[in-house]
Amino acid sequence: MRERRLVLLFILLSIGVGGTQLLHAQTTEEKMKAVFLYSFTKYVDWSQSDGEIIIGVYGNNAVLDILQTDLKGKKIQGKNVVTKSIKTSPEAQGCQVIYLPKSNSSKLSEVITASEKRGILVVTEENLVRQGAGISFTKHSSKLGFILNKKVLETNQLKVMAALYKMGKVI
Amino acid sequence: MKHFYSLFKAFGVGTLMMCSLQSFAQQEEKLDLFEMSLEDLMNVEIVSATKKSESIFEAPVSSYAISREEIASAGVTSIPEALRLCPGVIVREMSNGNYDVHLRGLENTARYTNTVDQQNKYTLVMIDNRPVFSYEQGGTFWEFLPIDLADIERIEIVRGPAAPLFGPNAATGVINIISRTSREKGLYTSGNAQIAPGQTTAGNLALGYGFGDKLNVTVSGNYQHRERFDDQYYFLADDEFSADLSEVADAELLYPDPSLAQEKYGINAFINYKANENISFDLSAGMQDADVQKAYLSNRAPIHLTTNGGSSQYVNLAGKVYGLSARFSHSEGNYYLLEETGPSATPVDFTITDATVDYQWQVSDKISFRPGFNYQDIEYTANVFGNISATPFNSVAGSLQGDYHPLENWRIIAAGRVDKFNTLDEAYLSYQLATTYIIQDKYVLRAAQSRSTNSVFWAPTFFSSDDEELKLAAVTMSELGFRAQLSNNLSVDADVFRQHLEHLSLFLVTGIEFGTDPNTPPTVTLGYKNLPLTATQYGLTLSANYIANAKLQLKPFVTFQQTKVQGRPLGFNAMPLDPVQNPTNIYTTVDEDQESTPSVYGGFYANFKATKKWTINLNSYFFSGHTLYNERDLEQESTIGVGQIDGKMLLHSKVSYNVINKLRLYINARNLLGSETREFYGTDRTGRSILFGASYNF
Repeated sequence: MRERRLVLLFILLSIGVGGTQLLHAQTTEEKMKAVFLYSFTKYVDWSQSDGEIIIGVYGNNAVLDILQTDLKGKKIQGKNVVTKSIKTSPEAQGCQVIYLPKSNSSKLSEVITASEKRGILVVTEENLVRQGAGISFTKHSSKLGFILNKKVLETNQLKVMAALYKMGKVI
Repeated sequence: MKHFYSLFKAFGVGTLMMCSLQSFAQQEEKLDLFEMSLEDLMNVEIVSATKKSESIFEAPVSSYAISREEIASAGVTSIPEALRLCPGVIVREMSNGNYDVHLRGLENTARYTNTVDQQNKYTLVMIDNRPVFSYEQGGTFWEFLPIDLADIERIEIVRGPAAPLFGPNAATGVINIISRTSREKGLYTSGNAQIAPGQTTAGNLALGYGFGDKLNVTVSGNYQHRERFDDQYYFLADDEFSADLSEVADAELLYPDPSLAQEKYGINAFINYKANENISFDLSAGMQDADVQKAYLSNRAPIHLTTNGGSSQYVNLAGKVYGLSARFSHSEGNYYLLEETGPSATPVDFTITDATVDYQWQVSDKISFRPGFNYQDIEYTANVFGNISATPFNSVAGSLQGDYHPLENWRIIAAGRVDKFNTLDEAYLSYQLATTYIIQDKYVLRAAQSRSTNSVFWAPTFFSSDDEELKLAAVTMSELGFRAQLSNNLSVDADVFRQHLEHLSLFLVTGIEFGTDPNTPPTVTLGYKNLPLTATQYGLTLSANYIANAKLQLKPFVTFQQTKVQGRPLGFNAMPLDPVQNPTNIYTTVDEDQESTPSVYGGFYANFKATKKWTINLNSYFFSGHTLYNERDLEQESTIGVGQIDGKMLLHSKVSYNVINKLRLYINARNLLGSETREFYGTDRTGRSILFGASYNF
């Protein structure tokens, strides 16, 4: 009897909250990270880059899927934005922005070596700014934020608008 | 045939569900967040995708993850061996490729037990959240896992009771093996093969196809053949090691291939469909077959190493639609212990169906709830204790997790789970309370209090003492933790823990009746019974991650611990001193230090990228000396100290060369120092392996 009650309670609960859920579309962490990545790119001067702006996502990741779907046709500073999956240093060197998901955090040193002084923005999902990332995501409560390593960004010869430093936390 | 039909049916239903939900997904509206300002975006609320998406740095529980890259770099050759890269895990090799694995080692507290009761029965081991531990008598048959290292994205380990957040049997923790999900488009392939001539051959191959950017189908296969490092067996009755099997009755049935340590293969298929970030489905199915020689059910054999084997099939369907996650799995198979056919054959058939649903409900930016429901239906047919017909049992469980952020940097988690097994009158409550406080994004202080029980297993359920209901073993933990990013290249993690075990049950003599005729032997009854024993463990685990420069990474870790056993029965399974008041001998007890778990254990991982082409990895695992016992020692203590496990340090090294983009050649040295000392009671001496290999990665 107790088993039946448990089942019934759960079915009622899942129908109730499930219905509410669909009425209020929520945004996932992956979606927000994709949007932030795109937004960061707007705050960097890419006038020295030829052709398109390439956002390379290390490995395969939900953020990559979202960028590839939602960024089609979008332009930043008059340049087409292209997203692709990267796995090697030569591929990383062909990008303007590199995103390192936490599943690939161990590749940080490889990415830093590949991007050093090449005008490449390295964004990491885990907080790795102290290890040499340009920007890292942070999360407080249920909101996404970011930390910037000004020294790394400057060393990497990136012209970042002051507004970005004001919005994020700078070390 | 019946097995394959039901699997086929389950796979078909899963595929159909995936197809029908695809059309729903396509109707989802796209939010144009890309046009919002960054300032506004920073106020948009986000929803945690799953319970496994926690950042390790901010995780409220003692957790660790071993990545695919670390596994490949370190050169480990099996899933249990990979756990030697994780702090707080005791891993001892019984024979080439066969391991005994414990989280912090709160088992073996009763000292004089048989080999089955020496297994780790208190850890929830899963593949993609599907429980894969044995429900027969507890413990995990690592050799029966259908997937191998090549199929794995990462292994997540949670130390300490965690049933409310993860599922049944998480009394000492959770080992969750997460499979790799490909997002490649078009045809892709990967492979790895390595060989140590005359010792170990291991290989795997995966082939897949990405249909557009949403649907991937991957098929993989794995194979391992391992020869023993030792030719001697431990003969329990004679208390000696010998390679001579001529005196063993039915030796050709019990030990058909004396030199074989392990032979196994697995075939798996994965279908991953991801409509968007809110909707995804993952369907996997596979089969495995394995034969090994390791210490299991040894007290029914003349020799401590026994032959075991089995085959099984599974299907696992997991889906996520916004905050609602559901998983259904079904597995069935059979295995044998001691011998496959013959007078000592102990065939076991099993069927396990498991369904879980949970829902992430974000009430506000500070509060969220996660209610969950789990149903399990389990059936075993075994003649371990004589001919037994199929015996089913089931459980229903409800759980609720609450997550509250009183301040931006302060988080409180409270979770509870109630398990109701149909074979027990009592329902069991597990709980977890945890809090984290983050200081300046650099330091995390955390505290946790939790309690979980182990699962109901088949054998204790149907072979328990009639006089009282068997209680499930329970572990209660108090833990304080501290994580810090001390500098730009050094992070440290420390846990101080206290764990308390109670309601341990064992298979033992539950009653002895003496007849009036002194020449007639007494009637002895056997069964599972709770012991008055409790155990209290105190410990400290330290780990660090030091990135010296772009080329060198170091990850050392160590655990110090001590376990006090209170009320350990002096002589169960021996003739009673007082057959009326204390027939099972369990009420004459002693308090003592637990000796069967090392008091210091740990290791390190060092990876050095010498050049663009060359990578050198050095990793190590060590434990301090300790003593294992067997129920035989109660009658006659070993004169050769078979249970004395010497302190040991294993050193491994893998040197790899990147020939072209995705192709690597490597030399993988396991046990570089060639240490031969035994790591488990009466099992094989260990040996050095030099493996030559090549890997191709998509």
